Amino acid sequence: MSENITLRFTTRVGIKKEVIPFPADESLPFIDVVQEICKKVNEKNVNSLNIATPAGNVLMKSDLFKSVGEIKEEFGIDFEIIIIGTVG
Amino acid sequence: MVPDINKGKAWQIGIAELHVPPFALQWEAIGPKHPLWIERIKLEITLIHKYIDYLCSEKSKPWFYIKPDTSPSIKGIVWRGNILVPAKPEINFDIVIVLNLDYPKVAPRAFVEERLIGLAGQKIYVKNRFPSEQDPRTGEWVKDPQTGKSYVMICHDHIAELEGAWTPNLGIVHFFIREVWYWFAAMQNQIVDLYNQQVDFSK
Repeated sequence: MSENITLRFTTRVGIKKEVIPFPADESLPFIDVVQEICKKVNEKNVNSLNIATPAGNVLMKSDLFKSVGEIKEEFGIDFEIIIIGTVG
Repeated sequence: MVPDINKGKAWQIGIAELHVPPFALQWEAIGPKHPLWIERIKLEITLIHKYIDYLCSEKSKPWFYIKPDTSPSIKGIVWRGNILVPAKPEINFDIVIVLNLDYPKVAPRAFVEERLIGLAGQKIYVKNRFPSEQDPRTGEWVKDPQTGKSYVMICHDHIAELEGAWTPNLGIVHFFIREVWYWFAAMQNQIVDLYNQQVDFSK
């Protein structure tokens, strides 16, 4: 039986500090989570942002195809959303 | 290059910055021309160590190295090191952080080695260089005598655009998180993709 995991996403750029909690089944592909996060931050697709850990490690494209459970094991549950367009 | 996307927005402090508090008020006036500058450099290094301690506590692979260059006439106005892709440490680049004499009232500037132009050129000011001189005969950029490289400035506009992204109570470690890391995190997958293409192409 698979477990439900709540991932937490934040952005460093915004009108206010916001944490987006995202409950997901551990068997779910992480890319599905990121696609939903894109919608929540009004970005068109996963290529317009990168996901990183608070400690600085940026997830590679290949990481996105891992399951939520594998991502939790490797990177934890806290993530930063880096919207590429905000970097100028 | 200032994106409208940042209009009305502010820098929001993340988990990492909770481990590196801002400088106390009395240090805001201590810049490179101040008699206590060397003491400030020591505090800057202490804060960088605190950040590294945090990264280690999270079992995070290191993504940068930085230390003050003590060779210029004013020590610690140039900091040198490198940044790397933790998952692919062979992808690494030299970096130079340059402090204005008005630091910390004004933010530092970050320069990366020019081969990054081919990997992240749309987020780089290619004509803003370290060293800043050009050979008057050839027009070529003068190379840094220590490394033999020319460095280009990474885009800093979000630091100026976002409310609170730079304030005089911040230091080099905060600049590293808010500018260098944020820029590198945004560009990292593109850099890896293009780097791999270059390597494949050269085979």
